[in-house]
Amino acid sequence: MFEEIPGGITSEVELDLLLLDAKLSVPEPPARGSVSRAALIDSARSSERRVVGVTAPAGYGKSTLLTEWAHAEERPVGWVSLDRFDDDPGALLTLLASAFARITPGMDHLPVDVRGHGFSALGRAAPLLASAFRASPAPFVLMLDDLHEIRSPACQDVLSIVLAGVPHGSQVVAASRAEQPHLPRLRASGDALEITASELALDAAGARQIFAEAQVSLSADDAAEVVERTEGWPVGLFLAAAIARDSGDDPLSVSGDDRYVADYLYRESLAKLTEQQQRFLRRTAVLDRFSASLCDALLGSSDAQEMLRELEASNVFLVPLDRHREWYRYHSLFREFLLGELRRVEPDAIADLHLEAADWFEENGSPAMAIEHLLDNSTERIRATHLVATVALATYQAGQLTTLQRWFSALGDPAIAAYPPLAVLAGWISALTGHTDDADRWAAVLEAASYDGTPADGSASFASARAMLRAMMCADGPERALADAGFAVAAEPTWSPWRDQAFALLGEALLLAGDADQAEAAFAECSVTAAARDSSVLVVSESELAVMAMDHGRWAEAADHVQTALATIEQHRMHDYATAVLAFAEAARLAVHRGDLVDAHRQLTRAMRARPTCTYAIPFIAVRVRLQLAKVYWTLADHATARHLLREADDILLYRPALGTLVDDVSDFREFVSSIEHPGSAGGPPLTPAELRLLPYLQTHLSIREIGDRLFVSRNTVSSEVGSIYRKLGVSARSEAVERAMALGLLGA
Amino acid sequence: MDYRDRLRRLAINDERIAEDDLDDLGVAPDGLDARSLALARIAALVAVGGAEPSFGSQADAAVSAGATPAEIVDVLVGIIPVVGLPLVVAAAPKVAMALGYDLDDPQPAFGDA
Repeated sequence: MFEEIPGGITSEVELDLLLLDAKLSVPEPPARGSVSRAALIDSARSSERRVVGVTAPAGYGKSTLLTEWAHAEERPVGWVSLDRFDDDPGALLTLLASAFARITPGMDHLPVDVRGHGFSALGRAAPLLASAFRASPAPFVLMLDDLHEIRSPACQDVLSIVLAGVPHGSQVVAASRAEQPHLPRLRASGDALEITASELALDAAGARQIFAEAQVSLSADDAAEVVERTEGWPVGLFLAAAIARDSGDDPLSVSGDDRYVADYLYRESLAKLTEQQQRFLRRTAVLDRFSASLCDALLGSSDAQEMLRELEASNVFLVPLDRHREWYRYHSLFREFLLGELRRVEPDAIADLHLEAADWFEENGSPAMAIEHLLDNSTERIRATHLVATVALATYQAGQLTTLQRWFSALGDPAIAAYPPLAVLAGWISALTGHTDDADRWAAVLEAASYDGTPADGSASFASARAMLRAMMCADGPERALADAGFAVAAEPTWSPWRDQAFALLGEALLLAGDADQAEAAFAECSVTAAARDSSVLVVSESELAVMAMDHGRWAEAADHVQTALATIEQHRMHDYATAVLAFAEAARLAVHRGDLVDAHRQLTRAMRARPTCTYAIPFIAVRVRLQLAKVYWTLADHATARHLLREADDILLYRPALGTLVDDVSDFREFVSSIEHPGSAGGPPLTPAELRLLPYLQTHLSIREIGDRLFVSRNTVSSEVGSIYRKLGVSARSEAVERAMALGLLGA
Repeated sequence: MDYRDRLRRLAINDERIAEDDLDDLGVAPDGLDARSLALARIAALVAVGGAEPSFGSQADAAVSAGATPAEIVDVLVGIIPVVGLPLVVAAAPKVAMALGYDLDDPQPAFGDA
């Protein structure tokens, strides 16, 4: 239910767009100080391998190679610079889709299409993107820089599926400091080419070129010697040349390619800069990306623009990110060195620098980046929790559940519990995503909490928000839910962004209490309010109104409600949301009434597929959708599926027995079903919610044990469920199961 | 063919029964409903120490035919006097798994999404 971004706090998105643009732009080629990688690039291009992995430690010129390739490439090039905030399947897919959309006509909708939360990243969005790749009208090249920032297994699973869609003639080139887990399998099938440190290491000719550019002469013997000492490490050679130029030292005095050497070399290279310039570099290193205005805010200065120009002219470790030279970042190894310097020289300044950065991002409409700068600061917990509260629902809605969960765990449960409005949102999101344990835990925390301030999420009061969560979870039966929903309706004024939610909950509670007329009025009120502000809560009220209209034979009216609900789902890409299931079920029911069996089965598949999110966390939805689906399947003579759905509804009632009239509805239907003397036998058992959750993992090459780790279930459970999936789909191998599931509409878009 | 004929046919250990279509031989079940048949097969699986996939298939068949999980558990309890407790103890986790509950797993089915 209730997927809405509360109004009034929607931030200005311009800065986020600028930052996104910087991440998706091919960096400018370095002015000097690099050795051409044309030979490596040519061989990688002519290899025609679909995936090229550039894997080497820092300082080997990976990004430079990608940049050179991108500028030399004739095929359209999409670019993604990844950073530590992108380690979230939703964020990663959105970036990949955005980069691809930029170079492929007619794909503007793709970044929005791949948004989705939880299991839908692997089951829907990743195969969708893979098939968009496959269908690309022209060969393309997609460059992923700093892939080592993507560490989570969930992201790697998604990536392996997406990479499988890269067609022959196109290439994905990924640079990473760490092993790239998808490469071994692709290499075995002849689809991958790897460029490693040994290919990136420079030879004597390369060394002489670097020294020549630094205007330091180097004899052939010395070149061989310095290459041997530095093991051809490009950044080491470059620094050796810079130091030789600036100090006249013997270039042979440096050796090795480890971090300490780099630190030493960088420190030497800073020596020629003024103290003011050094301080600028040190302090701005706390920023992942920066503009002059941000630097000025951070340092309390007004000359950052000039400083950046000076540094860019003298220092090749600064990378301009956009054509207008507004946004920059440091070479990553250099930034790590600068951060070390900052910790060494002025450790006390670090906390304040992050605060200044947070202020700037907040003022400039990027609360998410402000949160990132506040998370490590234990004295700023309160501010961070408030900020998270303002963007939590929007972040969830953008499909970045993993990011939200990372924030929650960085803040810690005590900090969240200390700010009850955020605890309500944590409970709300747990319930929406079907995480019953977390929802119950937050509900328990909230019972004891109180808060008198105005919540940052736009709701009228903490008490009202808590009442809505309680009504939604309906743990104590219809009467309590009715009282809670009634309280919320009274508390949320007409301009409140939560008013439609309150009416939806009131309608649900009235239905459970057996007051259908009043419920219909509440849902109608919800629809009017939700439609006026384009809110996705509309799905809930329109679906329930459709149920009631069809129950009374008002088919034309029902068709309008179904139409509105389905359009809202399309508009908000809510196909995998718990609240979409009832709309699909009613669309199927309507289609059966019209005799359109093809459409009926299509809608049923959509509903069945999305139903795993319908858990007892929102029990009335979970039971109602199963009851409605069971009735439609029964009408279609698929008695087996109807009975399995009834059984699922019974299981939910074990956890939430107090669901008022819904309990009677279920038992009425069960009695009707068992009164049938000779039941039809059409249809086999459907995939269970647990099996549906597992299904997307069959697309990967993960072992049974690894899948169990991903889903937090035992190996035994996975193996039993896989067997069951094979049996129900009538297949005997993993690839066949995936093919069959795709054909049935249980996987993919 | 009435039940006495069918019993006679079974009693002679006609090997065709294991290979051929039961309908051709006239011994196919005709009076028992799908639900009872599935429950009986679950009982038999317990008795022979059947494997988990067999339980999965028969439990699904039982639910498809209108049996409830509670009735399936009734079957397990009901045959203890005949097959003995150890066989039922051995079957319980397999039946649980077939119904979507991993007894070794702390999370309930329909719990977390």
